[in-house]
Amino acid sequence: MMGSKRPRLAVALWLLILALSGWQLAHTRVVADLGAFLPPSATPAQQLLLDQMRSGVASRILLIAVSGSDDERLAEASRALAAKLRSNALFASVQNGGDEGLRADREAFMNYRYVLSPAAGEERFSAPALRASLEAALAELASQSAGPLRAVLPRDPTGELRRIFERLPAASPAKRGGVWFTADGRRALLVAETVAGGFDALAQEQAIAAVHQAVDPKLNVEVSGPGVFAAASRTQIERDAWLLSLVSGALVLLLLLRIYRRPRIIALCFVPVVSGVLVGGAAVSLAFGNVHAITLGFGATLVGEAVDYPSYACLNAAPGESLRRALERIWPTLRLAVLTTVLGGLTMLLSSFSGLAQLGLLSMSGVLAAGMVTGYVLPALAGERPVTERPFAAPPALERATLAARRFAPLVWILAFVAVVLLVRNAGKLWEDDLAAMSPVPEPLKAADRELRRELGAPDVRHLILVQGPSREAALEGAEALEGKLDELVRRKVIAGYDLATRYVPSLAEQKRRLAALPEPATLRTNLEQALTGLPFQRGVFEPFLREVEQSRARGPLAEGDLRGTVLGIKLQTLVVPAGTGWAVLVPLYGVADAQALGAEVPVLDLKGESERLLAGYRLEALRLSALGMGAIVLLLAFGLRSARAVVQVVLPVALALLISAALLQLVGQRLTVFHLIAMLLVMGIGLNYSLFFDRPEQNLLLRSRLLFALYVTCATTLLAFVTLAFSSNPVLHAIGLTVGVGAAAAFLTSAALARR
Amino acid sequence: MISGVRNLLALLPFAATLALAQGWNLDALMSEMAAVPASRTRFVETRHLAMLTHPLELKGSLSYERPDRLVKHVESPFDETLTVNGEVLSLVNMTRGERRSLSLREQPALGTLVESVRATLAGDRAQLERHYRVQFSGARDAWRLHLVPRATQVRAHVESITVSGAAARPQRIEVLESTGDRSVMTILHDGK
Repeated sequence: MMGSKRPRLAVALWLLILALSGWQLAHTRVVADLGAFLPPSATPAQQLLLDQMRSGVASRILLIAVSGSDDERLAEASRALAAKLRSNALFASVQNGGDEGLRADREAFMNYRYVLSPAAGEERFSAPALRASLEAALAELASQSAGPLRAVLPRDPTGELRRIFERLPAASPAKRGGVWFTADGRRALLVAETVAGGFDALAQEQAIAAVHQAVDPKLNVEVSGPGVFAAASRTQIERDAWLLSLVSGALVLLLLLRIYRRPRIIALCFVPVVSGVLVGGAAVSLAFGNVHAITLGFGATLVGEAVDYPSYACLNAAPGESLRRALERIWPTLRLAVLTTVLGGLTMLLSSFSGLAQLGLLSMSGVLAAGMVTGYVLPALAGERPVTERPFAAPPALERATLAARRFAPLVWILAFVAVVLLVRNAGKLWEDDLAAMSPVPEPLKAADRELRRELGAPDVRHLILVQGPSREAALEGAEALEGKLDELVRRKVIAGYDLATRYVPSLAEQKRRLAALPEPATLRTNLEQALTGLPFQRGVFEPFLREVEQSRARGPLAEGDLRGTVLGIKLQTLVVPAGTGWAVLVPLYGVADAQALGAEVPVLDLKGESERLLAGYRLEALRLSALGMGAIVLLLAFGLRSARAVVQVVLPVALALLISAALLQLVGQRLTVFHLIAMLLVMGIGLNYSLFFDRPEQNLLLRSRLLFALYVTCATTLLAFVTLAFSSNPVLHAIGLTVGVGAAAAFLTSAALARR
Repeated sequence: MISGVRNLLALLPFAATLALAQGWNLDALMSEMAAVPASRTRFVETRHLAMLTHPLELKGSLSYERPDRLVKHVESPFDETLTVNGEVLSLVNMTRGERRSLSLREQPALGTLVESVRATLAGDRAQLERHYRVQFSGARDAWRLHLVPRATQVRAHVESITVSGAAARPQRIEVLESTGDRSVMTILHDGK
């Protein structure tokens, strides 16, 4: 067979491929965008939501809390931190509630008051209207609250600036010493917007580090937000993946050392895995142009199954037998095992998640490469030297127990039945419905984020209206037209409030209309003089007003860039966003009292419903692809085993094991996500190996005993590797470890119980 | 009234020596103030604003209740009540139907201005000196507190506040703003 004919050629080819793969990987960009593991979207609305989640302004917001001193010192620290971050190129803007951060806003409001104020377009500049404004101002001048008014009165006698401020959202955190604080006064709060998108884990890491460096080390700093999630998940996954791989690798090594007692054989066992990871990584890099850091981490785990391939061959060697001869005997079954795992990866490869597709390709090409290396290269590397001098055999007690397991076949059926009942009864709770839970974020971080958000008065939005248009202005005009309807809904108490971008900055058309309402300089002067007759204002007090109205006319409407660096600018960027080829205005609705009445009058997007629909769609895709993968595997088995009965015999234990482990996972409170699905595919691959080998006809008891031993060893290595992974504090790694651990054990037991021989 | 004050001012250097001689100083004033549990007076406030051809005149009542409640009720030319209770300041304008409330903690500058009157009436020297550089002069029957805000943020609006009075009765509060605008509040005690 293979390897025996042209061993040198196989080794040379293998070395060449390894070198090329290594070169390709060395020149590959490793990206850390967690968004690849978010489901892709079916509708433009969903696409918009996901885009916002990945890189919208909301995703770029970092919430910062400084604590550990009295409020005076914390306010000082808050101001110093804000100043330092504002001069840092990683940050687009920083707000701490202080005047410093609002200076740009005030200036913009003042300069553009005649296009921003809703009253500016009305008849405000005739003599009688001016007279009314001036009389009101005079009465107000005497009031105790006149301080700020007095300063701007000569520039803004009609009070447009105040009208603008009145329309701004009022919710904001408590202040101490002029900056934002939590209600208990223990933490100063800041909000920073990073330049990089929230899912860009590396850039977010830098920004977070900059925050920590900018604060006196004696004080405590907490940073939260999507960027922190991304950075933390990345570092945690990478750290845990490496650390736990090392631990499980060492454990597997110890086990193999105990069994083979020959370093040469153990080294051979690792050759297929290492080759598989290299080739798989290179294949992904060639096909996608980059490799996700997480793909590499998980991919190594997926290809890790390949450590068992040489073991199946080695442990089947009789004393004095070479690896090549042992492999020759076992190869038809092993080949089938490898190919079924490769087909299992197909499910992921066809997935529309780019992260999953990468994983699929990595696992398919990696496992294929590992299988081929086991079959064609290992015999050449091992030469004719015997694998072992003493016989490999399972301890007699284990062997007896395995034989006894067959008596428990009815129990497997009962368990599978119970599992189906449980799964059907709790079908509603089977899948993870929360889109946020799809991102691999540890729960304590999420809790801290919720708390900071509450303190900052940022309400959770569930309902919003999406106004789309071919251009930014078209979308804005569409949104503008909604204002009357929304006010009516507020009046009827269907909703408590809304956040409409055009309330702050109107569309260009509306701005131009307001500018057109400003009178000519001469007319305005005449009107003002008429209005001032008999009032106790000094002559010339309102010259600045006359001048600035003229300047406003000359300045024209407010362009998008004029709000750069302002709080309002950030707000607008979250509310008015590019969507596909056009633009969309998001109108968050607050305090929805009657969702049905609301939906009947305006097209409302229910974010929770939308996210559930999104996940349901993705679930359907996953199930469809899994069915496809299963079908392909069954076909392959039919081709390899050439008997329908044999196929059923091999597939049945694995199918039952998958059902039982899914029910078990649900019992321990896991909700299935994309990551559980990856793990289930792995379980399927491993489980098929077990059932294929358990079912393998052996000519004599000695061979049978060696095969059993091989199965025990491979199951032990798998459990060692994945149970270690289950100890990760990262939800994703934990999910994979737990699922594969439970699944592999279940598959081993069902295969043993349902084996024919 | 104004001329009376001017006369008193002329006598100041004299009075200061007298005060020293009699051992009457800021502490003495503060302790005398601290002995008053509550007070209610009427006031006339004249605001001299640069942009107006003639000053605005406000009339109303001023009451204080130990330890930290201060109410300034303007009765004419409109009805407006400013209440400071602990950290909370509220402004109710009945004429315009407006009602606002804010925390002095959030607005430290406003807090400073409130303390010029409240800490003086409370006889709380520490509080007064926390917000202002305090210059005391005069005697028991004609004292004068010259207050200059310590915070630059406050000095941007208010240059100085001068409170003058006799014994535990402030009679005149003059606020000089950085714009040059000025307001003088004359406090009328019962029987005076």
